[in-house]
Amino acid sequence: MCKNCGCDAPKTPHHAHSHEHGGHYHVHEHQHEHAVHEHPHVHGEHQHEHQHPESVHVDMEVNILSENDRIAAANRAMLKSRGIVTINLISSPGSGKTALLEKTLDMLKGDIPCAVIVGDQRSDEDAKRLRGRGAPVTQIETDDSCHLNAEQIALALEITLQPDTKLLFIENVGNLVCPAAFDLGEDFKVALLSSPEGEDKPLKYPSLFNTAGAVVITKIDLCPYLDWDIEKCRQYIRGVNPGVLVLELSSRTEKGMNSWISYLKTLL
Amino acid sequence: MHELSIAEAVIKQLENYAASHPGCTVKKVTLEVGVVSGIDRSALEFAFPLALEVSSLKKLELEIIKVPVSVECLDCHAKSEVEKFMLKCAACSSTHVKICSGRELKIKSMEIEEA
Repeated sequence: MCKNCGCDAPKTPHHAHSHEHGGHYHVHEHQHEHAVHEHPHVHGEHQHEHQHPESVHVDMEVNILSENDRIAAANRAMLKSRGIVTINLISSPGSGKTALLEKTLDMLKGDIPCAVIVGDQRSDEDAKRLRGRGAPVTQIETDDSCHLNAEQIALALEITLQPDTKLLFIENVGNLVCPAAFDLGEDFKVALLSSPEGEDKPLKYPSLFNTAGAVVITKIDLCPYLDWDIEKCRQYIRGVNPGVLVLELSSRTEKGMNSWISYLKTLL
Repeated sequence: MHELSIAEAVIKQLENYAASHPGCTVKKVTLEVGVVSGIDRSALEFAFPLALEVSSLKKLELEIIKVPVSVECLDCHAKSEVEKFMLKCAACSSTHVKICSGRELKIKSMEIEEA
């Protein structure tokens, strides 16, 4: 029997005590053999040797971004319940996301009620360009962050959606890497690739092009001035994402815009 | 570029675990990072101690396991690893494949000490 507490269970780790060693002070429980008293100690001065607690392995198997994923799932469920189709537009800065949206809003005005959430590190320059085209527009300034996250979208949805909204565009921060990792609650991602960027972008940034539901090649009006092989570009896109829809257009000349608009209408 | 956000998200989850298990100390965390997760290993290793400094946790060891891209062929059903990221079956060259791994971004396990 344990003389400290009268229990009948030797080897049970239950005696909390405190002591100092090596300059630090801590309180812990440790296991000791009551019957044979294996470890030497002097009770008057309370010094003894003992084993430190072993490290315990804990299996986690959780997504690092599980908190973002949880909010994204709530966004998705809410949008779905309202019958809203949501597209997350991702590309490098300057590849023509805002220009494509300007033209898209103009062409869908009076036909399909749209809404836009646009993210940039600073300023509301994009929102200014997109307003006045028949759709509510909310600008998110991400400050020093290189991507939008699901929480920012959850807040923006509250002030952006209208009772009749059917199609929501989220224009992500211009960046080919980071935004691909953050689910926002969209139905799918659309990746943009402008002709001046070079046809090998999909090979260099597969994490975006592989997860995109569609890829839009923009600024095709510039092709005659570039060493640009559009067939090679299509091959590279399909190399990282077999079977993906590839559209080619110019927002400036409107070449290919009708195919894009038809595609959007098939989603609703 | 968003490795600091990732480091902060990892630490947040470890802090939540520690808060719900009073007296436990996290000594080590093991992450699985897929080759096409968009995360650079060295940038994450650089960001992690910085994020740790402003957290409630003490210094702890970070282990990163790199997960290669692997695909399963939907035509011949062979499983193969993929070089770079050209998605095709190593056995029959079909591009009709499903990605099995390579996008992971998860906390696999931890080593903790209980008081």
